[in-house]
Amino acid sequence: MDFSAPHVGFVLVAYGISFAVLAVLILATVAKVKSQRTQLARLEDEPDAPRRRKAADQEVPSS
Amino acid sequence: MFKYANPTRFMALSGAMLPWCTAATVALLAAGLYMSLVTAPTDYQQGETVRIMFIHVPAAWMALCVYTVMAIASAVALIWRHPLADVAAKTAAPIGACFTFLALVTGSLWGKPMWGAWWVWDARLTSVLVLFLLYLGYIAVWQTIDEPVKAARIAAIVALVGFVNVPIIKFSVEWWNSLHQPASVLRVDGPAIHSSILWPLLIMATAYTVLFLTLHLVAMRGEILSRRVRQLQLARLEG
Amino acid sequence: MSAVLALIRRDLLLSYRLGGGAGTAIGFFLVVVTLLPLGLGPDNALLGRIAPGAIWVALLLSVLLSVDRVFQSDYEDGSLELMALAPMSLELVVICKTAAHWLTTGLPLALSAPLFGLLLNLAPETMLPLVLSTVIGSPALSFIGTVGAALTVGIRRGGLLLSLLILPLYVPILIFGVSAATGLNAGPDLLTPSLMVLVALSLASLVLCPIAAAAAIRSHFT
Repeated sequence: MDFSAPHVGFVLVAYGISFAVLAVLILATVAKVKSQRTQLARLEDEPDAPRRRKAADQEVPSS
Repeated sequence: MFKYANPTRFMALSGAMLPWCTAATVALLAAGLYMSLVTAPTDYQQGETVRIMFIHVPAAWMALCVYTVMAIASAVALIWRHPLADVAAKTAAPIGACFTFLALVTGSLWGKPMWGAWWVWDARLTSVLVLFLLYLGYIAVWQTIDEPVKAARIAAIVALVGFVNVPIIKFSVEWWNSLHQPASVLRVDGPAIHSSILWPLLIMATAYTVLFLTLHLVAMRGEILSRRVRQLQLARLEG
Repeated sequence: MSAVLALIRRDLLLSYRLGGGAGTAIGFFLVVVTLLPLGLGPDNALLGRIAPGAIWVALLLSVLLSVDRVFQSDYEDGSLELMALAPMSLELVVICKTAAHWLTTGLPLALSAPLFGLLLNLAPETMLPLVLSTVIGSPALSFIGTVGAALTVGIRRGGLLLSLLILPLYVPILIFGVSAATGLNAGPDLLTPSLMVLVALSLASLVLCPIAAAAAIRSHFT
């Protein structure tokens, strides 16, 4: 590519913006998947949360 | 088709496909960019700016292609109630909107040196702008409606109504543009495309397509995971 | 047939009693037509050139802003759900309600268009083509708007979503409407191709939009 040609700035900006937008899209998608995975792992690692709440309900004194 | 309806099966299948898709995307993009920026010849009239065509035209093609995928997925969701169909439609939309945005921006950057203005209301750019609005409306439906089942149905109808209108809008915008034809308009593809221009274009178009396929698979996996998360959270609340 | 007439009559009565029908829409039309010269400057030559397009844009905005009441009050008091379950086909219900909306809002707006054109220095020879185009094109505006209303009924901030969804679909009506209003340099024959396309668009919307709107209404109740 001839870097001294007229309007070459437009070409560079166009390719640059395309790269930037696609990079943001890819990173955002991958980040979302990663965060869902960690949330899922966290939720699956605490199986006793509902049991804890059930026990707490039974402990409430009935007046 | 319903063999892959099971989300777990889909996760397994997509997980196996992903490395290959990613590799293909990288390879095609590398080859395409090399051909676009280095080996493709410059145009007699447009000089170096013709290189913008190699990222503008594929982006515009993908904008329409992804909307078609969304429409097909929406039709499948409405008619056959395939469980993954609305996942496919929902996740395709942001990717398609990005391609449409890129088509508009690169079109504008191509138009400024060619026509002297940052934006021209020619038929193609105007149609792409209206397509961008259709994408935004579709995405807004998912963001505005809370209940997932209702959101999926309404979004599917919106996608299909929009899809039916795309050829009508394109036809009417072309008619409108021909009425107001400016004095001199440079045709963006010229008489016949020479093979030294055609090959980089096709490679970049294929690269963008495989990029969409890869991203779409990743996004669908993310959406399936987030639905599982939501299920677990709801079950947690109900004790 | 009597059910159809009864439903149209009901909606006409409700619109008359509740208000917010033709009067408000025409008032909005007037406001938009007033804002345009304030924004563009009082140059009559300029205004005369943009008048058909400006009138059409003001018309479709007025229809758009009034169309959400087609289903809103029936949704709120539960009668929409009853209509969805009734033996009368929901598509026919949609046609009746849209017809009532057009009679109370779309048609008055379309007929008042040439009057507002006077404010924008509309050329006198374009008044008849303008009113023809608005009268023929406004049913399409009403029917497409009804689809949007059906999609967004009962949703908070639904009005904005409605506009975003429907305005791109108005593009063909706008293009051919303005072309029919102005493109009569073809001679004394009023039936220009644009007008024919506009007729086709209105007829197509009469047939296709109720299907989409009915599907949308059913989605709200399952």
